[in-house]
Amino acid sequence: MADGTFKTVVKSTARSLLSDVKNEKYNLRRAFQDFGSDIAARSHTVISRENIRGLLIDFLAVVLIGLVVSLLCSLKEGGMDLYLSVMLPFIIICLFQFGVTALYDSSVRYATLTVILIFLGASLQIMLMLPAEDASGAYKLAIFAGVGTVAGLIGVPLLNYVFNYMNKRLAALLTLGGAAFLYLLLLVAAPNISGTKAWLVIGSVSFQLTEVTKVLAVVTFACIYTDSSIVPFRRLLYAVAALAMHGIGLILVNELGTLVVICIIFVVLGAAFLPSAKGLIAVVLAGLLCVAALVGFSYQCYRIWYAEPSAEQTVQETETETTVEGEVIAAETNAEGEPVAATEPATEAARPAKTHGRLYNKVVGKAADVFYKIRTRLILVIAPESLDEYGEGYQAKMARKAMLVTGWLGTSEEYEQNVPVIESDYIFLYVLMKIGIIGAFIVLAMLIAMMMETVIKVSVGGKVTEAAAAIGFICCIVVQSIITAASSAGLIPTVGLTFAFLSDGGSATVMNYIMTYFILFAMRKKLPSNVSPRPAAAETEQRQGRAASRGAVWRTE
Amino acid sequence: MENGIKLNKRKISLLVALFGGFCFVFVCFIIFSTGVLKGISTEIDEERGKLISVEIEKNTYEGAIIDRWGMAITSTTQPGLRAEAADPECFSALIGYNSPIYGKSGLRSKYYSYLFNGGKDDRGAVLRLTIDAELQKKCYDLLDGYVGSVSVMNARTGEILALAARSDAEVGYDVNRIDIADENGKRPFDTYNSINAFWYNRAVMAQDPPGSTFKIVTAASMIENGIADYTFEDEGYIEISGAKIWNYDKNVYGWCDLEKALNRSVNTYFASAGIKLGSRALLDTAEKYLIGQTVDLDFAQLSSKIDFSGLNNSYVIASTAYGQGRLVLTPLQLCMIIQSVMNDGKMIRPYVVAQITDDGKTVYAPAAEAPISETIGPENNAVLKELLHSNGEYYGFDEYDYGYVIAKTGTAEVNYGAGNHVYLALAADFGDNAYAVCIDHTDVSGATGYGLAGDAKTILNALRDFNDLIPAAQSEMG
Repeated sequence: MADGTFKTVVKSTARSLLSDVKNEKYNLRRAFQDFGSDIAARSHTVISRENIRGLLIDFLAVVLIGLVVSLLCSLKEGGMDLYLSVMLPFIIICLFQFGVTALYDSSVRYATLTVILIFLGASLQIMLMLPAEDASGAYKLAIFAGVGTVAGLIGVPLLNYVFNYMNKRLAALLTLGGAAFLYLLLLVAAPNISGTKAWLVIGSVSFQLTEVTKVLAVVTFACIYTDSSIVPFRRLLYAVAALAMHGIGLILVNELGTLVVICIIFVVLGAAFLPSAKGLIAVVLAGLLCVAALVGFSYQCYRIWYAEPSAEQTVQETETETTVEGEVIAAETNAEGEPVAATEPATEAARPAKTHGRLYNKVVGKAADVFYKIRTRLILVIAPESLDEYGEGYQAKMARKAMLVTGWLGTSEEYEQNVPVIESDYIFLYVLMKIGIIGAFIVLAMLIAMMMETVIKVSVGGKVTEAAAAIGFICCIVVQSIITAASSAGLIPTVGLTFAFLSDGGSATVMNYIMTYFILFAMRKKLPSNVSPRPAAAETEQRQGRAASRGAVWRTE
Repeated sequence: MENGIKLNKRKISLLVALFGGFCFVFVCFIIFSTGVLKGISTEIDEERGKLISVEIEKNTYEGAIIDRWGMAITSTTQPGLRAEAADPECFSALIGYNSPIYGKSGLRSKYYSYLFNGGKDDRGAVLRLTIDAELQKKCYDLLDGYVGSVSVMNARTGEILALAARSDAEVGYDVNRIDIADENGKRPFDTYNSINAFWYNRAVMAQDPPGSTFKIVTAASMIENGIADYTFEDEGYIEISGAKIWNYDKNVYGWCDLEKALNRSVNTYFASAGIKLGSRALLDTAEKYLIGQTVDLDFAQLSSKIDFSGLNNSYVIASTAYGQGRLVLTPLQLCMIIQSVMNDGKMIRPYVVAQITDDGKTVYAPAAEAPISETIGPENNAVLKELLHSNGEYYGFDEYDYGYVIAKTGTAEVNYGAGNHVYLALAADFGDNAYAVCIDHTDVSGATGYGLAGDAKTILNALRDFNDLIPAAQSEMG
């Protein structure tokens, strides 16, 4: 009997899903048609005398900002030709952004803040590349920004369809499935780079797929939290399940920083769209308990993993020499001839092989790895001097030095420190070095302003899933950037994330542009009442009629 | 919004506010941890100051240290690298080391802000010392095979002309190589560290019993307190509070007055005179010679000790009066004492830095200073000076050859097996200038201060040559 009920449920769910999938082609067509009509209608309103004048002023401002930034930076650092040749594509990209802002009648404030960050990021990266006199990295930036722009322009109608037309349950399942597939792909095919498997390498190109899964996570949460067909408690459960899936995937590929951001988005969207916070608080507390339990478990694994001697270690011990007096000399000595105590290997590759079963090795080894990573990062914040200052502690030491020699308006050239990975994870330190503490505060203030602008603008619109997605995306951009800044400054443990628009990074740049264009889209004003898109009403009615007979669920506005 | 799902503005505002709060904390953290606002954390201010100094240092040519004639004692040709001393062993104890591993010491530590501050030309300031490099070298060579020091100063002006020191009879102190590891990975710093009291510049830091040189102070106290005509029948020893005080080598000198007692360094005479004076009088006179006080110099701090705990302890008073007891002085302070006798009782503060120039401008020059002590006054001092002059003649410092010389030897027996401390404090007046010298050895062979007379004559000859240069150099230097 129970089997029969279970089979029935599975069959009906599968049938319902199949029917949802079949209906989606109509939703998809309608979404693109409506989008096209909307854009066409907006284009007509944009091309009016006042708007053209305003647009031209914005364009001129963008060009001016780009040129002035190039001039100022090259006056200080040299390389005027490099600046201009790289800034030109960025000027075009920013013009595009303003054009889209005008088209959507979206937030000029947000677009301006983003443009300033884009120019700042480009200038900083060029400054970093100047000493090496290698322009290829700078052109790469512009190429990725261009790709990001194109991806953003293509991505917006797609995301519009997902949020405003697609069956939410289907959307959530698809994005979750997509993310799971990407995690599996990374686990199987990605090489271990700097202790994580976040990059998929194809030839000479690498893609940081966890940036994509992060965006997919936002889409998943947005769809789940705003699915009115599910009761709030179930929405929370589904969101927890999605979070758990992302959590497992990210732990397996060792990308804990992205997991932190996804957890924050989970909490923020839950707080924003669930009617009661009690459930969410309970989940958060339970989550913290789980984290504590996991940390405890991984700590035990860490102790087991490094306490047990390996076969290699045993061989090493039997190979020690003895002096005439019988004193044992350790097998390993350092450059100064002093014996080296046994130390924990820094990377997985250096770890001695264990003698237990494969599954045991994988689980215990992985957990020990995670604990080791967390422990090292905590020590870097709490007691960096206890780490080898030329090994694990080097980056923290140099970051600390960079902080100490900065001033309100930047660091004198002779005091500039060479911090590893400053072009990416530690870009905020470079901001401190180049434009000083005041400049850094301005950047932080801009990020907060972007966040507030987004939240205010989307909260007055009518489309709740869009709003959820926009809030999720702005969290990705702003919260991640501030976490990155705080970790590079030593306030919180290092998380290995990038700073939006400032850090060097291909995949992250592309995803940031996609998210930015969608946020601009979500903040669009309604068309004036005397202007409306060409209706697809007749066709719509036909579709609805056919769909009703099939029992499809249509999204209505 | 739609279908009953609303954006909870209150909660989202709360979250944004929380986030804003985090950003505020972050901003405060940046201000705190960068140390841009001084005074919030002394630790961070120090760390920042140190780091900035290190960064400045990397781009600065270490300032040169030169002798009084402009001859380089240290020099460098590259920024960020330490200046090399031309004759390191001779000058190391004075100039100190500059090491990226061990930091800085000596003059390089004391005058760090001048030597390592680039200024307009990325070169540190130039430190001109009062030292005569040739004289310094001669004095250092005299210490070959000994632990000890030689201090030479101008008795009228306080300029230190030589301050040589050795902390080990065999291991020379080389600041140029202090952190350079040999093939076994051992650095000279480790060797120096393993030698007892190696880092002490013996001339200014070695506090030891001065032996019979303290009889200068006892004699001064006798003159001051009107018992300069005291006589004593010496039998080779004197018994005080049940303990015997012997003359050196248990010699018997018979009838002694102050002059004879000084010439022959009769312990029993001074022990008995000390009892006669009493601890208060002796202490008062010692204080006039700044014994028991801290004297601040432009490169070091001199400390000494005189202790009469239990003022009625006659044995302590008697021992102190002839130069043992609870009494320790540094050789440079002995030099100051003999300097004051030569200078009509006026004790001058010695100094070693004559001038500091940076970017062509003088940024430091010592200010003229009144004597730091009038000691026993000119009249009493004249009596003491004459007595010590008879000592000089007794030691063989012929006036014709060596000028008007006052001197006193000292041998302090050390009962922990480290040998005697032997001293010769003398001053010579060449007419236009006068000089004070103190030579000290830690000697294990049983020698006495008399054995230093040969070294002193070498120094006086060198001083005569130096003295001849001065009028010419002064007119050149304008």
